[in-house]
Amino acid sequence: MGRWMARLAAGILVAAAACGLFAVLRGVPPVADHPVSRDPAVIAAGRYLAAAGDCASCHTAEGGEALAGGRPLATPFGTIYAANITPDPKTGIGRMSSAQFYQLVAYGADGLAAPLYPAMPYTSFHLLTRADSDALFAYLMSVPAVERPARPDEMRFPFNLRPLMFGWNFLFATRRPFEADAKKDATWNRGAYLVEGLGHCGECHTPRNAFGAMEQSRALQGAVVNRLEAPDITAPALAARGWTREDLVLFFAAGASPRGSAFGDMFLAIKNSLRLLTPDDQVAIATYLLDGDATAPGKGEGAVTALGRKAHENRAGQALYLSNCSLCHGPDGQGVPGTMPRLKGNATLSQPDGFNLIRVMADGIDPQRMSLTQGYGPMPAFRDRLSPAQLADLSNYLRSAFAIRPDDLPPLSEEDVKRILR
Amino acid sequence: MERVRISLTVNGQATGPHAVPAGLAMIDFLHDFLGLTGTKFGCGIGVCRACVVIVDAPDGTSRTMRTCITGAAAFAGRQVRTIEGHATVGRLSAVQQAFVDHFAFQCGYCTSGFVNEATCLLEDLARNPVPREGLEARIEAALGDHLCRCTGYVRYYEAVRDLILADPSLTTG
Repeated sequence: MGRWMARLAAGILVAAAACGLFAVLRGVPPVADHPVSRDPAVIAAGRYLAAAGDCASCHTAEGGEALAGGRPLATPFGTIYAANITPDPKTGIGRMSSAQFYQLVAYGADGLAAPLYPAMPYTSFHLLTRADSDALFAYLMSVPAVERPARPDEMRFPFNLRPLMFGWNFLFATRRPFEADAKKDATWNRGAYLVEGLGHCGECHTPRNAFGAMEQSRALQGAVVNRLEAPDITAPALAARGWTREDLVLFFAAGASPRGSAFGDMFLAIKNSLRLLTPDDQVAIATYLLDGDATAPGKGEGAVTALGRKAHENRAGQALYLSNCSLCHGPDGQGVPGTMPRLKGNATLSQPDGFNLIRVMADGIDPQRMSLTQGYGPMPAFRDRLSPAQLADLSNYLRSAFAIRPDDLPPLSEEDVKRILR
Repeated sequence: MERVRISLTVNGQATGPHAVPAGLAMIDFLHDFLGLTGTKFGCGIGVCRACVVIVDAPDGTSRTMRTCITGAAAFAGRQVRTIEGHATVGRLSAVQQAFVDHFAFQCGYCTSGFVNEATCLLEDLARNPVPREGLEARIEAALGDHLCRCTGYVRYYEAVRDLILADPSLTTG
């Protein structure tokens, strides 16, 4: 017993020493300080970068002042509260230098005492160029200062010991700057820079390991976040669900496309970020995600011209659809443009595990307002109205009737529904 | 379109079987099959709640359901109350009378929805009284989704609050 304790203690000491050594040697690489630009052109460029990085979705609390922090982020290790990134000298970033800002954005630490948690996506932002970081900083220093003290994080022991994050960084955080792929064109490379870096798409769409780090071997292959699934957005998976470049660009620009409408956290990502990007950048992101595969527009449409054979056989599902869904989504799944999402060809139906489909039917979706004039109505929750067996019948009908290539999708059982809703 | 046969109980009276199209909206069933036109069609997309009716569960609880986005077939076998079921010969229900006394409505299009929702609220409070300081929030939670284009909200809410406070068994503390 005593020997084991001694070995354990020695192990912990060695790990702590390794962690400390890394922290001192590599934890916070020194960078040069640049004066903060007051040039309106630089500030405007920074504002655009802040939109592309979707700073507001996390750093603006619900109903709070812009970028003043406070929004909670629940993790398996405890709850983290977003920082105030307005230029308030006491509670914000007003006393920060451009060098410290870059260290925090790219390395997650500007000193040995209190490195950031990777809730701040420095794990993606390290791809940012220094020029972009400086422009972003110039913009943030130009917004109205708000005095609002940060709410302390509520992390469980030992995760509340922030210097431990140097160990995590040593194991999981890369610092490789962005390198353009010479074999691809400029549009593809711009898309790669936005998706992998500032856009930090992988922070939701890439599955995480037991330590909460993105599994780069399964990049963008989908993960469950906040009770919904951020679906697989690798090129083959997007193509299998019928996405074309035109669909993706429409989806980014308006939150809706022939492949369905955005909901959950993706709605926020579009509202606060993607729709504010230039059409060129939206095309670049779509090009990178589809890996340059210029899938012909309308390719998905042909596959859904007639109800599949299985849809005709599933009379229980059809009756459920007609009396519970068709009054908004239309008897033929056509939806109502700008008000009710179209189901015919909807990409969510084609996610093989049916996770989001079942979750959305059971729990509903709050109304989603892009602006005063643009928005989607609420989706009612059917958890109390339909049994798991009925939800299974209904989802099988929806998939066979409206998904593209329905024969590639496995039928969902009552047990599948119960497991997803557990 | 596919037809389904449904039977249900509306305002205490069994009706059916009716052979209805499987995709027929409940509100159209009430209007066209039963001649009950007091339930109003507002937005048609489940937002304004003018069209709600009360559905009574076997366990004695009740809730409202939107009839513009729910098919008649989804009401098969259920106990439904519509605006026509509240007044008894020549006598308004307490909720209806309170709305009249408070001049709560002008055009009246949203009124049947408000009457059904407020009735559900009062019945629920009779089973689960609410602390008096939480009453405003409870009313807001119950009626907050109902839209009134004449903006009679304040009077609707006051009518419901006065009605609840007039019965000491509905609140605690």
